[in-house]
Amino acid sequence: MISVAGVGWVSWQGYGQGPVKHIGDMSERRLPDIPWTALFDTPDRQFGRMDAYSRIGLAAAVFAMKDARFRILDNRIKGIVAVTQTGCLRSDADYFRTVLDGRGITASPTLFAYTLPTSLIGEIAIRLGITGPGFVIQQDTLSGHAGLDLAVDILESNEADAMLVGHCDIGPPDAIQTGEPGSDLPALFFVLRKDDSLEPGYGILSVTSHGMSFGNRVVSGHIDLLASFPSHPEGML
Amino acid sequence: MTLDMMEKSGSNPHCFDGSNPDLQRPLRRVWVAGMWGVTALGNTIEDTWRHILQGNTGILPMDRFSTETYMSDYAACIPGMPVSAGRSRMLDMLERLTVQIGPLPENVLIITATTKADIDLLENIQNKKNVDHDEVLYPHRMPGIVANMTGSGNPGFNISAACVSASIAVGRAASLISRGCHDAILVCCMDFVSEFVFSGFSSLKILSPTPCQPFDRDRQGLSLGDGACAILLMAEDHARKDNRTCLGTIDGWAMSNDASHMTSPSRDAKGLVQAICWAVNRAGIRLMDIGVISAHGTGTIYNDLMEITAFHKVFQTRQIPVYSVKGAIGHTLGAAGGMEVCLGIKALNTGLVPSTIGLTTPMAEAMGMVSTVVRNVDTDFLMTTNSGFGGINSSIILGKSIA
Repeated sequence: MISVAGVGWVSWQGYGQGPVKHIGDMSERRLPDIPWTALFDTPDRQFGRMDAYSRIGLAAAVFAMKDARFRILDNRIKGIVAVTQTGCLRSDADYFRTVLDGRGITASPTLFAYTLPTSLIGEIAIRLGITGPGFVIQQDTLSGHAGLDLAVDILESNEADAMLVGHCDIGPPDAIQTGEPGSDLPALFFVLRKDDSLEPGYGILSVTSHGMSFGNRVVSGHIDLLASFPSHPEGML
Repeated sequence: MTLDMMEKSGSNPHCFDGSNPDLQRPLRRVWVAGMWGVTALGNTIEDTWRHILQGNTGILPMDRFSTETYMSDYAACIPGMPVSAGRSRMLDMLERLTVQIGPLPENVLIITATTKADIDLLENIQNKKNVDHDEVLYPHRMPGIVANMTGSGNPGFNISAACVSASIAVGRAASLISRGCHDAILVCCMDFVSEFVFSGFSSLKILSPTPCQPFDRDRQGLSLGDGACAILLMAEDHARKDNRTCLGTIDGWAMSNDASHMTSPSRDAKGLVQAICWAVNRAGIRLMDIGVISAHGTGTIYNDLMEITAFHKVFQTRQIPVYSVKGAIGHTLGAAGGMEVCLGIKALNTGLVPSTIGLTTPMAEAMGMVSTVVRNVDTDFLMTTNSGFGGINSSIILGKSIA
């Protein structure tokens, strides 16, 4: 059995752990400032230097692990599957601007390091001791089920004892109109864990040949999973 | 004590130290029922393989964009892929690939692997060149594009995991098939040489000023390459019913993370060692059964040293044959692991270990493992390895074709 052990999120208005009930006014899409003190016990100088995509995703992952009361040095094998659409496109634009500005001479290696969607995976892995499978998937909707399917596949194959699964998507840079709607919740991660009765989580994610269910409700993906939390009033998202 | 005895007694400190999870063995055998590719060396996997055996390289001075301010002007570019206004080179490359693909099974799922997809469109936008905004700009659209080009298939998702993207896509597809979630999956892997990526690797000072020399004492960095390949994976029972031919099998797969650095591999190779051991564990074979390794072998100082360190830790004193194809077709990034599966299957079925093109004087640590000449090998299993930014590692165990 697989339990849902924790949830962490970053909205356009704030951030936190546990089921989110109000995601606030989405008319102003400005990412919140998150101090390192909200995440770590010791200073993390790199946190403020990360691109926004990695920073927001890392924050949601840390909140989810805290919510699951996972110790970072826990020796259980942990993995991560992150879903995105626009990924690091903002960093891509920022980096290529440094190429164009100096005709290649001033290309920034620091920015280039953040031009892979998996920069998020690397930053999370380093800080949370993720030594199992970790990758990003891109699908045509953030609310699809592929991320959850893959995380469950990894757990059921015994490749990891716990999985972070969710999404991180902060939208494209302003100068690029793409028609993508963007996400109401820029970053959302769950901790899924092989269930052990000593650490009860929010409930059991049941997997059958017909799909997944949580709390007697069929869930179509990780965003739907959030809406299925018992303490989460219907229609708040 | 021989390696075989050590394995049986469980005394190999790296693979049998008790931290090895009991990975689920494949519940259904996974066949490679088709493979197609296009590289700088040829428009098919067969052409590419033939050129590699002949010792040819596709890494040449290029004129795709000005390299005046970069540390190299070498790359393995597919000839005749001109850019046209508002259209990505990716589409041209994919057309060359998908035209080769025959009828696909019903309900085949399409998974793609790419690091930057059609990043040249972003270059055009920022260069204020003509761009059609209806064109693709995100990797998530790639499965749909492949489905349209092949005229069949259900678009799934794209996997992005730096230079390990393709091998993770193959591993996840094999897992989904072996556990009965799908009967057939087409894994389509792709990346091409763009100024965006070329300038980035140049800024990181890991581009080789000359064609790359994997595992060489004097290696100076990597050379980029264009590449796309498609691998049709099917459950054995489903493939037999569909009268497919088994070109090879995917017997083991695993991935891991170093959790130590964003752009540099772990110097003690702990992540790659873990991936190798887990893949062997899943395949249910002994280390002795692996006869040859298709390494990531990029030609950078740190990658090649890390890989050889991992091979020594796992295989101990055994001088297992190792080769890299990146001196021939360049580093195709998100396609690399897929290319290496295709070419690895050719190596297994022909019993030939290709030379590592670009290699002249092996690094001391790789002496006796890598070679400048083609070697013969009689083995049932070949292992591929890949590592990439973000500390990601993977290993895949390939089996021979089945009649």
